Amino acid sequence: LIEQSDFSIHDLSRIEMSKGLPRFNMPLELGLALYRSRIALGKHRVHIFESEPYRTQRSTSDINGLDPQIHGGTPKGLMAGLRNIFFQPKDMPTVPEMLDSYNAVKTSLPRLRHNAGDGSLFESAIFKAIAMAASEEVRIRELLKSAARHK
Amino acid sequence: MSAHTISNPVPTPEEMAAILDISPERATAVREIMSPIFVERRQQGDYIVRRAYSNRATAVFPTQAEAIKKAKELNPDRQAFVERVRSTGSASPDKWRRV
Repeated sequence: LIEQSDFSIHDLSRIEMSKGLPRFNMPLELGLALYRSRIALGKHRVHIFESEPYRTQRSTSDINGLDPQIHGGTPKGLMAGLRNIFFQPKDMPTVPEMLDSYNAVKTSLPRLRHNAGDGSLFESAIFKAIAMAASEEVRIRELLKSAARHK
Repeated sequence: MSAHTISNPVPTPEEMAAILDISPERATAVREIMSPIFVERRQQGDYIVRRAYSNRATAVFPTQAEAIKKAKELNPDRQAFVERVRSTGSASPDKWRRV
């Protein structure tokens, strides 16, 4: 996945305890992505998210050159961080619009999950359904904006 | 860390299905779940309930209230978009309000 992507996002606040042990998958993937970025001469960009300011300077000091986006553990903070790292020349969605889309997908989640077999959110089928739903939600908003402009 | 510029922010449903490697049927099922319902006033004064992407009315009602009730029944998880039919001061006709 990392080799196929032009960028990657690593949320270091997701190092949580599981059965008494911290899960290190996220920093491991960050290391792989940093190596990929180096050998791809910067074509692959690495973005780091954290919930608390200055925590990465203590937990992962080797990445002090990379400024993390601090989301504060909230959807609003996450949307603001995403808006910081992705730039759209025109019609850039606002954070409230992004939160509206987030809430629309969240509200539809029970039906999306049911259709995909009621599995975990991180199973491939449900993850793809959520990605498709998010894309569809954005398209509908674009259509509504476009219709309002042409009326 | 510089920002990524997004030149084509919304892939088509077909492109998205291909990116995610899901079947057209699966993609359509997800689109139906996400599809909002519109309530619009026709020239003859009645109200139609219409799904997004469809040019045909799903149902026709004499009053807006009945049409909104039907829209909520059709997709209870989604907000319905109701065409404004009068000026309210803050929003004019020809705009949508969500219910």
